[in-house]
Amino acid sequence: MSDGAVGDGTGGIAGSADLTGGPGGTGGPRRGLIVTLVCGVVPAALLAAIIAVPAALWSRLPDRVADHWTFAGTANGTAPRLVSFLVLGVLALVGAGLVWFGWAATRKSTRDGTPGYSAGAPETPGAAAVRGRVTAAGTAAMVSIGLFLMAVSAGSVIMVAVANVDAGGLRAASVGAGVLPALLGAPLLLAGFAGYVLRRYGGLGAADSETGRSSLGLRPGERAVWAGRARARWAWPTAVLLVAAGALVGTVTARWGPAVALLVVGVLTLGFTSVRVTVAARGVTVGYGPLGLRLTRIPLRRIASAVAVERTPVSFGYRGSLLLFGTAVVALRRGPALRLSLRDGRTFLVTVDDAATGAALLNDLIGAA
Amino acid sequence: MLIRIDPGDPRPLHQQIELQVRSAIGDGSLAPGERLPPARELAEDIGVNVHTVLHAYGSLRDAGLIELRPRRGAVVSAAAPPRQQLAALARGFIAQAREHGLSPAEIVDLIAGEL
Repeated sequence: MSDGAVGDGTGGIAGSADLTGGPGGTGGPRRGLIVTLVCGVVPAALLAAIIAVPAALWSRLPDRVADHWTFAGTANGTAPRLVSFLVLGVLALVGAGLVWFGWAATRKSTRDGTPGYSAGAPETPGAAAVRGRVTAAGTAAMVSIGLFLMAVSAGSVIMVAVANVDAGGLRAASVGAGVLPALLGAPLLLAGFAGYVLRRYGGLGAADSETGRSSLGLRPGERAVWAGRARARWAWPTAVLLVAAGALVGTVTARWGPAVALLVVGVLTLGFTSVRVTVAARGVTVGYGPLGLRLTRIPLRRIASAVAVERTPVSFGYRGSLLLFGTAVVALRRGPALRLSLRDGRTFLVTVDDAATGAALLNDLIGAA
Repeated sequence: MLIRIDPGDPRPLHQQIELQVRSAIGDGSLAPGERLPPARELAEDIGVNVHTVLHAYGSLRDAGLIELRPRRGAVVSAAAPPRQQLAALARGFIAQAREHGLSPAEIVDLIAGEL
């Protein structure tokens, strides 16, 4: 963990309990910059757009602007010009307030040295650590929700302004069918990305406490294999609901695009009903879902060390990519997880029962290899 | 579920495998309905012949602990008794032995004689 970049990777995604001073010392200024960017520059740019776009187009807008659309993009409601933009402006202010509170919380926790800023503060056991994790997760969530509201507001303001500019009536103010989904989708992406960046690089990570790095005491000549699993209660109902919704949308509305998308996501969700992790001399294999599809295989020679952690996740599912981002997290539930540090600095984490035994065996196998 | 194979252990390899699967079923780390590793893969991982693993799986099936299905492989059977049942059986046995007037030392001797 002497390499700062490696330390950041481990700290952001999987936790920071083992980073004794790593990014806290080296990543300080960079972390401050990221937090300023996400909590300061981005909201300021959104607010500027909310004010500047209507202001620039004001004289070309009708007195009553179309401000309500059907899902297909046909305008079906109007409001006075000023009221329409003021309502959206209030939404943006609420969002800005949330971002501000979140930002203030990160600055306060940095100043106090409390573990709210978990990557920078030394890991303290017990209640303080738990409080720190909750604070960090809550702070990132507050900033994310605030940014989401602001982005929805900014998108809506721009849409209302652009759709109504020089438009004579309702019909002329119609927009394309893809605009309204994008109006929610893009802010969702922004909020998710901001939350990810804050947790990954901003030090607002949910720290996972290590629970074991022991050894099984494998004797020379002894061979061993370990298999563990994790189950998610939420995955089956979610998958069934998505598939049912897809079938319903397809048969009732005959809109096959959304129907197929729902079906595909539903079937992919089945992959998270359970995972099965196998540790053997050939390395680590992860099988997903009821069929146990083995999509993740990490050879033993790539693994530097393994540790069992107690995971308190902010989100569930598969996040990251070993190949693209150098970190991947398979989180089906909270609780025990196996965290692998790879020789090239990458990190892989998978929730699995009795991870301590798996980690111990893996470390023995690495030592014997 | 952890399976360790020690070549220095005097017990035969298939028995080592069988005992450890039994123990995993007993302590609940292998739940009913759960799949055991495919025999060929397990054999490769612990460096034994695939027939050795199949021998162990066969004994476990004969004991009613697992089912061998053509396509799903070895699955822990629904009737596989967890270890808590053993304690209940022991309590019942001890109660009966006391009814027969046996002292604790005599009960232990009785069990030791069967081992």
